Amino acid sequence: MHDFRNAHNNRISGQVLPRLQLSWSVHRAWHGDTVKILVRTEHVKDGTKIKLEIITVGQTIASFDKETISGNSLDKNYPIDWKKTKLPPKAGDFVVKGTIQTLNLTATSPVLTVDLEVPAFSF
Amino acid sequence: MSNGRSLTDPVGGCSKGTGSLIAEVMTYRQGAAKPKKTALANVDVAISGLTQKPPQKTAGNGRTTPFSGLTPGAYTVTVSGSGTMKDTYDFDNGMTSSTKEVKKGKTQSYYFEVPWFWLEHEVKYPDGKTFVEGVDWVLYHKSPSGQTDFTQHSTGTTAGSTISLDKIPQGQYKLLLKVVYDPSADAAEAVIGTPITLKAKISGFDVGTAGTIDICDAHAPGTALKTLNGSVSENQAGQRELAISWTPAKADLADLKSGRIVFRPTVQGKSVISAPLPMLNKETYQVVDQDGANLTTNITIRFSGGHIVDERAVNGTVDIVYPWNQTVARMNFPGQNGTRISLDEGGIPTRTFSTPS
Repeated sequence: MHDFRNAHNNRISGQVLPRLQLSWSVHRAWHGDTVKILVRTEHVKDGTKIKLEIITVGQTIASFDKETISGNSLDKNYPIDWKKTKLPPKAGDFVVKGTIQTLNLTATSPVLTVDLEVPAFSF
Repeated sequence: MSNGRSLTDPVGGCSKGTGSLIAEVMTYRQGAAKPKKTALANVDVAISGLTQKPPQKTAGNGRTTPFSGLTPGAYTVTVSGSGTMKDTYDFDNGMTSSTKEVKKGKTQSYYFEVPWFWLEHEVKYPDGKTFVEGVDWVLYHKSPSGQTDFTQHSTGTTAGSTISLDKIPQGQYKLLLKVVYDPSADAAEAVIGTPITLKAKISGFDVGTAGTIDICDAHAPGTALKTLNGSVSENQAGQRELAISWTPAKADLADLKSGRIVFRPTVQGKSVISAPLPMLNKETYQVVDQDGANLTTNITIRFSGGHIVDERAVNGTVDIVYPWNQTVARMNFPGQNGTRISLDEGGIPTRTFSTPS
């Protein structure tokens, strides 16, 4: 890979694989926190559009499709505010899925665990 | 015409009883569908026949001055290249020698075409359609005349089209992209105190080029917790790589908030980020009874993140490996029912509990 050969009077056709990685800025958060969605890419041109979907229990609860890659990265602040969102039962672990359609590229982040319930204390 | 002669005035340079000849050499891109021909200067032109004349070089218009004062008869004209010209133009194939009759009072013309060597290169995505821009490249060349190693020919950065190189030396070409790729580790997890080799494949950089590997929190890949220094080497398979052995220490990871790391190998600004790697703590527990005697017993520990470890302490010691930033939530000693346990974790107050009787 990345070593391409040919004789004179020919064309050398090199190839690179674009790459996409996603992660959250934290692994655990509480409702009301603002977390970051961290997108890192390789060999992706500036201005390339990426679609971000926040998914829990197989259901997309939020989607952004106007984000673009710059310098092979994108850091997007995401306030966790799902008061008006109907979350599926057993929601708690959330992933963010990124799709760069023009490059046929998809990746999913590790899980972000969000505490959705008001903490209950006992004395 | 710079020499005052013209192919349209063939008798201009002839003396009485003799003839003359003139050679013209044109060049073009070899294999082109519709070749655009241009004059080729500095070609060596030699003639042989009844009259001896010193060789000439073609001028900027691709022509020689007339070889005049030639006794009429057959003359052979041979064109050849010297120095770099010999390598960049194809004098070995096609017609480079021609024999014609030179007649009295006439100027015979000899016409040659010598194509140049070329190469194109491009970098695309696997779809084969989309050009990838901004990738630095190094082009190496090896001549066909017994040269064993490639030498650097040129460098550049890819743009949105095919790069075309004309009038280049013949031979083999190797295009290397200056990239750091395929990061990997020789273990599925990093453990405190246990060496792990982190590496990435390297292309386009010489052996010995300095590189670094940043260790980062998987949730903060932009901030290095620890930077390792190394250099590009070549493994037994001939693959260049940046490989650095690292023995994780707690002190290196004081700011590691999550339980996973990523690492970022970098060579001269080219870098890649690895997939997340679990970071594990490793501690040796001492298991003794109330009199201080070493115990040999099974031990089950549940950590705060739900991780469960089942181990056996032998002669009072057991190594416990558990996820980073987790603490002991529950501990059990099967076979030690009804035992009162004191847990000294170092740094936090000693906890005491009893196993069920």
